[in-house]
Amino acid sequence: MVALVFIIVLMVGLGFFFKFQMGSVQEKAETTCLLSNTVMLSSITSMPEIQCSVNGNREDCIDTSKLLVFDPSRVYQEFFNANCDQKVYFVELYPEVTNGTCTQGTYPDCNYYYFFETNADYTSKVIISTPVSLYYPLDESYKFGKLVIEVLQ
Amino acid sequence: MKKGQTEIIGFMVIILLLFFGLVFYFRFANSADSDLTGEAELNLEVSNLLNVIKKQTICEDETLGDAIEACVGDGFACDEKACDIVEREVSEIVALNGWEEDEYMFYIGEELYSPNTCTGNTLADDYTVGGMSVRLLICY
Repeated sequence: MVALVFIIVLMVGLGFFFKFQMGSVQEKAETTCLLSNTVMLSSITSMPEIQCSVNGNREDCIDTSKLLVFDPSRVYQEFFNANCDQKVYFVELYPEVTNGTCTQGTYPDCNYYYFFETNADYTSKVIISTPVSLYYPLDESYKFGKLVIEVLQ
Repeated sequence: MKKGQTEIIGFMVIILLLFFGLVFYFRFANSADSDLTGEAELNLEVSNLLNVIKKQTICEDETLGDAIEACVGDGFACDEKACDIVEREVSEIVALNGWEEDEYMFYIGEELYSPNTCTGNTLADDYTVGGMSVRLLICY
């Protein structure tokens, strides 16, 4: 009788334990994913393929003419898909905003620069962003924009 | 029930309590990590926003960084009083970044160029121009 009660209580206990463990592992995975994407906010702005440079010296800004032609999915596919799926883009906010996706035909009268996107199913998303200075070499101006990462979950 | 059986049940209860205690401990230990992520993101945001402010073009061949430098010497930028431009443009950029007026402070030296002061925990970034420190702080 005692052994039966012991086994039942132990099974209930183990049930609760594994439920908490599963929740904890899932939470940990989401935190790791968010953390890696926060690091990604910093590393994307430092990518030499899109960063501004004057006479070989790097500057803290994003060259929009480089952004227009660079396709990160050809070089950085593994870098982006290492921990979780995401959608990455740059958006210009100030001073003048002409809504629209930037292509070679619409540039510079546009404000949305698609950067990377995975075709994944998701139920929710967490948006993280950081301010960036967008450089327009045609008129040598700097405009306020944001690098946005939509973390798909 | 024999005395030995009662002791076994008591021992079992103690083990289960330890079990649940550990599960709760690990749950709370995990939640501290997510705060650290938020703070790291905010730190990066302050640093990048100050860089954006410094670089922003305000008129032909002049940046907000030039206006801040002119403001230190009480000068002009884009045919306007430099300090007026700084106050206006900084608040515009910060608002577009999603910060409220009572969430940040912008200083040139000891002079405040934002609408309000704020209290609480702060994160800041700064640079020096013309011997003056230019600081952007966020309260959270």
